[in-house]
Amino acid sequence: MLEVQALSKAYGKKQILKNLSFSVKPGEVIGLVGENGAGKSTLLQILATLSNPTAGTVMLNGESYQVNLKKTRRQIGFVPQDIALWDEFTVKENMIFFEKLSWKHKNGDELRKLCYDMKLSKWNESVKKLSGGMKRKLNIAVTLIHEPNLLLLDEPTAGVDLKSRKEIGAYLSNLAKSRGKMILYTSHDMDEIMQLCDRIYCIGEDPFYYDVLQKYGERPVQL
Amino acid sequence: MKQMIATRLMRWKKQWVSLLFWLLFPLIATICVTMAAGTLQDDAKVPVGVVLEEQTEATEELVQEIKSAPFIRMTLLSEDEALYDLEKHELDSVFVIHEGFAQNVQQDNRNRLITSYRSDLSFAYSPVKEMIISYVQQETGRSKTAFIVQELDQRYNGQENWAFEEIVTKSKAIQQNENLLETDLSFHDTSATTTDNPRLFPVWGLWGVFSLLATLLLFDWVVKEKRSKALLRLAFSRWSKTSYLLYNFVLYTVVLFLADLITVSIVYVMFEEWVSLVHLVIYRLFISAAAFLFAHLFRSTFIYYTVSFALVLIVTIVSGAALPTEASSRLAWFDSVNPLAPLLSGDYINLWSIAVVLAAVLWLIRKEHYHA
Repeated sequence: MLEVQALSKAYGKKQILKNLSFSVKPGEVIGLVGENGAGKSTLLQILATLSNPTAGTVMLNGESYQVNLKKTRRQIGFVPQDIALWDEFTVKENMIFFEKLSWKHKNGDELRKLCYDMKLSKWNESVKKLSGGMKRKLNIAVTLIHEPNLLLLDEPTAGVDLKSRKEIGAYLSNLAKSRGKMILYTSHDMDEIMQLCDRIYCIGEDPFYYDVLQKYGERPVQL
Repeated sequence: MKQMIATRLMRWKKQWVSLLFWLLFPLIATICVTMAAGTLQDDAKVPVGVVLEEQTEATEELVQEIKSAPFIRMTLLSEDEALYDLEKHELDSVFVIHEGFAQNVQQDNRNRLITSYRSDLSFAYSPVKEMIISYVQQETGRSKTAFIVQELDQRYNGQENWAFEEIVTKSKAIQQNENLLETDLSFHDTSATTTDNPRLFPVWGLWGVFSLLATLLLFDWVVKEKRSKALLRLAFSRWSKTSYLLYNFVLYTVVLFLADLITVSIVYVMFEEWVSLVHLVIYRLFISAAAFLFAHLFRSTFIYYTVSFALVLIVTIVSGAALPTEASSRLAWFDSVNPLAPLLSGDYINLWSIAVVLAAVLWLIRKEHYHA
């Protein structure tokens, strides 16, 4: 479980995040929305341990970020907004390269299956030649090599065609439900967020959250 | 470490052409420049023709003396050939050593031993002529000395009965041992420098400059990979960014050192020039560490390449490693920051090494940053 308590972040005098508290349970997909500059990426970076908060605490499965950074990082998978891959490598080479640096060892078949599960079949294709959607899928697949409990995705479907977007969404939803992973997801596409996420946090000047399932299903809406 | 080697090999496999090129560049460039300079030096020598009318030990010694002059390219010819070449201005001057040369020298007879020819375009006639005259003077002087020593021995009833050849041999041995022309003089408390390398460009100075450039350009991986988003993933891997960079620095240094060892062997076989392995190891460590740390200052490879070329040019000119210049003697302080000093003079406890060690320590203790 991810627990965020009274989290604040300021760059100099500019306050980006103010007193933010929320929690994410295993199997939940959380959508983060907000205007440009509202602090979505900053929040993800803090949750990914890439940036320190000005105040507040973050706990992941009972481990404090501040106390045991290395141990917490093993449980985190971060998919950055940019494609974080070696362009000159093929899909296979990228998977093998990052597997060699990973905590978890996976053989070639396991790595290939990970890609196939994401509908990424061009195993020997160079990253340069992949479509935007395929690159995004590989970007996520590489992050999943070490089987993180918490998956943080910063606009993972930006510039991706509808088919790939649906495939990525379906995969992530399945990952959360079947394996109990916690997923935090930022996007500007509200339709996608509504379809994929269990809850939505809107951050910015006046933060609030929706319980999507209740609004569009059975649960009551909390504002 | 095995995993790290595997990842680096994957990266090298994609860029093996440029890797191989820059690894071999210092060796190939050094060989090419040295050989080209050697040819140039030979072409720049004054062509002199020598005609021998007799083949004796004395004429052979004279020929060797002329040959050993660094500015002369001597050719043995017949008189007709020599004069024909002189007329065509293919020879600067011609010296005909007449029959009876050895006997005349031995008898202290200095008249008409050699006939010389010059053309209207001869420009090195005088120094060559002076050199030959001085040699003849020296040999006749030696013969005279031998006769006087024998005469003194007889006059004062000496028991030694030295033979003429014995005295001449002894005289030559003394001359060789006490040769003032080849004695290195130095100030008190300073070591004498030997200057027996006749090359236009010193081989190791040249190699040092080329290897400095190659090392800087090979370490462009630091600039490229440091700015790559892919390296962000190291935060969620077994390796920290610092350890990833450090291990790769070690791998690059080892590969570069292996290339250095190949270079040392080939240079020794080709030019009979040697460099201390201790100096080479220290030079390699410092130069790789400096390139690695220096590359951290750049985000653009273009600017990195430009600054690297400029730096190597400055080091080449100011250090005088490849070609001694006026700048190298004017800026003597540069010796203390000369990156080539550990290689060329074995001087590795200086400002340069201290600066590299300090920068390395600062780099190791700095805080690691990741930017998403």
